[in-house]
Amino acid sequence: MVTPRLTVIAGAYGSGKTEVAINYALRLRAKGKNVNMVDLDIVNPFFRTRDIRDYLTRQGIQVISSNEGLEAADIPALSPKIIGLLQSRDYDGVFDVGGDPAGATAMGRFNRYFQEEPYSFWVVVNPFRPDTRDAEQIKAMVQEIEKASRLQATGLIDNTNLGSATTPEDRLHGRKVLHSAAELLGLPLVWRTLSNLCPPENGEDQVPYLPLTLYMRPEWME
Amino acid sequence: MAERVMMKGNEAVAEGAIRAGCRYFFGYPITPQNEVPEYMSRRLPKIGGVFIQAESEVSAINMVYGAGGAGGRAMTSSSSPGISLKQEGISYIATAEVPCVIVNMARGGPGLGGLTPSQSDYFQAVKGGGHGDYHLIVLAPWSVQEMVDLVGLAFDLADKYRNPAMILGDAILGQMMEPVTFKSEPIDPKDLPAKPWATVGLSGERKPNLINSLGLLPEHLESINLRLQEKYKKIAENEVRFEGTDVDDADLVVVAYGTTSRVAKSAIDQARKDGKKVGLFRPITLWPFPTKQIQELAAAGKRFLVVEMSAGQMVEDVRLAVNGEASVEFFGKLNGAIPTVEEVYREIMSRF
Repeated sequence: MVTPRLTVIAGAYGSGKTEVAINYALRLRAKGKNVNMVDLDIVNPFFRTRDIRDYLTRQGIQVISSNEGLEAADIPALSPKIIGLLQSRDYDGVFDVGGDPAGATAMGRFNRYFQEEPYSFWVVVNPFRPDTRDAEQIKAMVQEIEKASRLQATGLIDNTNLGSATTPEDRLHGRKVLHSAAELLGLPLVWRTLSNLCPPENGEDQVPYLPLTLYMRPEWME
Repeated sequence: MAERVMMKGNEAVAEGAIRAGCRYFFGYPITPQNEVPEYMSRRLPKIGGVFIQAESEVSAINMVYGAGGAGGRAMTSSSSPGISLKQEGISYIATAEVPCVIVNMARGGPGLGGLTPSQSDYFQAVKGGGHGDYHLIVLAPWSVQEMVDLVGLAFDLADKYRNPAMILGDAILGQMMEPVTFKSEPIDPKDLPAKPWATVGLSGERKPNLINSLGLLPEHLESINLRLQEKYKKIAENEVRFEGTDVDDADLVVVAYGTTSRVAKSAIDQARKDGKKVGLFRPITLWPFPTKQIQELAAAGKRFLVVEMSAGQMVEDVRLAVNGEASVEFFGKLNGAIPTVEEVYREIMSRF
């Protein structure tokens, strides 16, 4: 199957979707794709893709966010370049969508473009975050995001972690929760993240690892 | 096993407050602390609590005054300009000796400023902030875990001394995510010690309780002030909290709190590897300030470097404590950026 050129990375607030989106965009770029990253996070001005815009630009990834000069403001502005990206079809687009239904609402504005071609819509889940602790809660969260964005989720990403305190047992616990959530929602588990903060857990379950370099993490965090 | 969860500082301070028995929250939105009222608005109605988004900060702090006066564990949160708006109410609450907790996730000032982290509200927090001679108990967490631990302590101290307590964080402490462990069972407000002074209505068995901050007669106002000062003396004697790391053998002691103490800790670890005798002194209570402990370090011949995200505020309290007996230098950042580990490391190394 051909991978769709449009990938939407969404998730509950604080699920880790920005780190996932950055790493996935860099991965596409490393495969030689022409990648645009769209920072659609209009909910919160902290820990955003735009914070490492310069780095991503040097890697050959164009970052589209709020109008320039407004990056540090909490003004929910969207760039007209997003429409350009959606219309031109010359690029792969990775959309970093804001947390919770409030953030996903921004996607609704571009709905008609997503009706015209296939897309991936992946929801990042960390079952150690409040409100996505079990399969039922995850299901409710995914459905709320789908409703707000008017798009259909096509997969879940397992981002189980407790930062540097993560143990292999925690990862296995997360794996179980994610499998039952995926089953409940009828969605595939498309990736499992692995950063240098967490040791990998034992056992295979066919879910590919998405290695994460953490770009948003302050250097002084243990 | 204790419950572990990955939380933002803003969420953790809210959950920590609920677990400490807080059932009354009044606030008004401002970035970068909106996750606090959002969390409270989701949780409090489900557990028999009250959440009100007031029409202004002035209104919110006066609702806290009312709920605290009625004996409930009440809280408000805001960020710098919003905390400025609350100052009149905070002064009333301190004078009326009503326990409550105020959270300030400080952002860059002065004026409307920006949304980035800052420590330039130190003076406002520890020197009064509003009008009159009063003090808040001010606690400065340096991690998401301490948001939980210190908000619980803030409620306990507030009740113990009938005094408002403040959690002084900043934008980054509110937004960053770290693992949190909830070590103890949540407190049921019904199990908290009774507050016989609270205005909860009469059934004829006692005189009416009165809560106000008015002292029109000179003798009365003086007696209020004397009582408050007596209480502040007791708090200063009993409630100082701090943490020292690698201080004993250090020649140079870095004094920092909150976010900058995290940065300083990393820089000190590096400088230690280079063989430099440097340590970290981290005040956890900003008021009462660990004056005596710093005096003792100065008497032991140590030099000081104070690191803040301000033009130099806590450094004044360090200088007062040192009282000219040791060198006190300062490194500050004013542009809304957190100092880097490299910058603090260089500041340390240049002093050896």
